[in-house]
Amino acid sequence: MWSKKGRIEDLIFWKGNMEVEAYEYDEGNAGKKFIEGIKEGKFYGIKCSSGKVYVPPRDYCPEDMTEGNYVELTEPYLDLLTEVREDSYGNKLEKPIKVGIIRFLNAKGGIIVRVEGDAKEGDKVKVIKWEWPLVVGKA
Amino acid sequence: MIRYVPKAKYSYSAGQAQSVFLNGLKEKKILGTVCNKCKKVYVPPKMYCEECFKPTDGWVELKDEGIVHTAIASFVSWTRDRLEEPIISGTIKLYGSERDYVFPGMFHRICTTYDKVRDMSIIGAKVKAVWNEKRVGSIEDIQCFKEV
Amino acid sequence: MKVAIVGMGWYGFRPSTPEVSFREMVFEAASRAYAEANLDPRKDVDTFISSQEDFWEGISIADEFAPDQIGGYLRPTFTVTGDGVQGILHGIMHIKSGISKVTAVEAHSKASDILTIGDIVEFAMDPIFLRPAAPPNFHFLAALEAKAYQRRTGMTEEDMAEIVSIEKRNGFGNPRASYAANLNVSDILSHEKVAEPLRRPDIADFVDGAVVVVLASEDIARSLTDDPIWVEASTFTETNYPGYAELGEAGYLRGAYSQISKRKFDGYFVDDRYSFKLLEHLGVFKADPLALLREGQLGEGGSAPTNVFGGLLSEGVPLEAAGLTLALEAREYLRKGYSSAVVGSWRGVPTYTGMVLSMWR
Ligand SMILES: [Zn+2]
Repeated sequence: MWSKKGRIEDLIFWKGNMEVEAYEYDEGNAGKKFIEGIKEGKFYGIKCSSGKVYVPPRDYCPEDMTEGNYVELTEPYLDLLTEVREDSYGNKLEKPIKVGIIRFLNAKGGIIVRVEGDAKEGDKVKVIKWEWPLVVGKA
Repeated sequence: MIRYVPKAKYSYSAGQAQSVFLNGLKEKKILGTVCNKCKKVYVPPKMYCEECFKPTDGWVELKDEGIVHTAIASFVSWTRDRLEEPIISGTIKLYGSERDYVFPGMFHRICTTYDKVRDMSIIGAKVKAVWNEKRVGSIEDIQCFKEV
Repeated sequence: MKVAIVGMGWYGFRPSTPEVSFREMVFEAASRAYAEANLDPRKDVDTFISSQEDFWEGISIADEFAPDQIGGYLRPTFTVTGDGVQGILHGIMHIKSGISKVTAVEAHSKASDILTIGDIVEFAMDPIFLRPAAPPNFHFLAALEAKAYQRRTGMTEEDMAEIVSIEKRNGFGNPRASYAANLNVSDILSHEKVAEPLRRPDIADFVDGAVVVVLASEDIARSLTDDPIWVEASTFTETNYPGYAELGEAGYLRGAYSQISKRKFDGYFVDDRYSFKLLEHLGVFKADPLALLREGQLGEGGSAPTNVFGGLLSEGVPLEAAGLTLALEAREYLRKGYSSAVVGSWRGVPTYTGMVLSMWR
């Protein structure tokens, strides 16, 4: 454009929202099994014909698209941990939030969880509250 | 089920063309841009001619009247409520264009009766903008286009 | 048959661009690209590609808003929901399949128009396994990746600060580097952590900007210029949902690179929207990037010149235009007389999608 207005007073900014109200996501079979398992105090993964175990479970095995079998997983450990002190917009959080990934030996994948207390990466963890999302602490 | 309410808020930059246009509405003016090469007039305006791919050359003021190109009556509101009285809206071909299907125009409410939409007699009717007393630089500064 | 870049144009690359709508911004970039290519889009361009995502635009079915500003009015225009390098990849397919001789590709960012950008990124997360557990800061996913990368390589916070310091200085002299700055390592380490181990300076800000690339078939390219830049592109999405099995290994970029013809590169232009990602992404192309950093080999004249014009840490993150921004840097580098460069692009948190653009002359 060979000419442009630069004075902010001459320019208009229109406030608006994307027309999205709310979503209700179906967890799918594997997701339901996983979340129901959490409520019963159990971790479920899926074992595929290849012998590989995936967590969280999925409705199909990624390597061959067949259905696997649910298996219970035990003894989670904290693999990765971060402490978040600001929100996405740079506002300081009232209290830092610890978030991590717990994993299981011999299972591929992990679960994003909130962490309480002084659990460190590599520590075995126990679930403090069997609710989704999970809160864990040092075992 | 996992329920989630997204927060998707924006402050859309109107930019050069639409800012001048919206500010013009505040002054009861319908402003368009013109391409001197192909003579096309843009309402709502663009700073570039989409046919020639060059910047448009200047501004023109159009009359706030035109003819109804097409119209519909809706018994459902924006928020999906059932309406007793339909909202009638359509495209208004503003004067100043010689082409049938490419013209400076506006999509807006039309102040007329449901019957005239149903029997199609509103199409081709001459209409004129009804302006709000209080204008803020919005497409809503025009209440509707009313038959004259 | 080869495909070449015969023109590039850009506009913006400022924290905000109040003077233009996103369409006007793209028109500006397109005008510059066509002027450089010496082509008239209304006559000489066969297909048009827009790389975009509805929630970045704030418009559902934003494809409807794509054609006019790149010259695609009443012409074949289509959109790619992804990074501009994915747009180039589709453009290459148009040309190689014979449906087009000349294709224009655009990507843009009006990040400053998005009032709730953090929420939009959160909206991209897995709704069952990730969103409910995510803290109110999407950078946490990058922080976990950084931790994994640290553990795997021994990278320290000082190394990360060193990257930021180098990149912010590299941006001086780059007209698109709105975030270039003179920061030394101790300045950076004096900042508080946003999400362990990331500090504010480790994280690139968003930026507004538009980039347009004109691609041409070999014969057209040779008729237009004596010095075409040949390109090859690829993309790959790593199966990391749900479970985040392999963090810090840039499997998405390795997957993309595995599809590209191997050649020697004179320069590397990789997504560094987080400082450590510079090393993680460079590691796809060069062994032991941490040692290269510590030995001072990442500058021009070193054994792995990387983001020598400042990368995204200096230029900002222009949403889906990030890959094309790196491509602009790579082209600038080739113009200095080098014969090859590679772009390693990423769609950012929370994606595991990477793109490679190989450029040579
Ligand atoms: Zn024209």
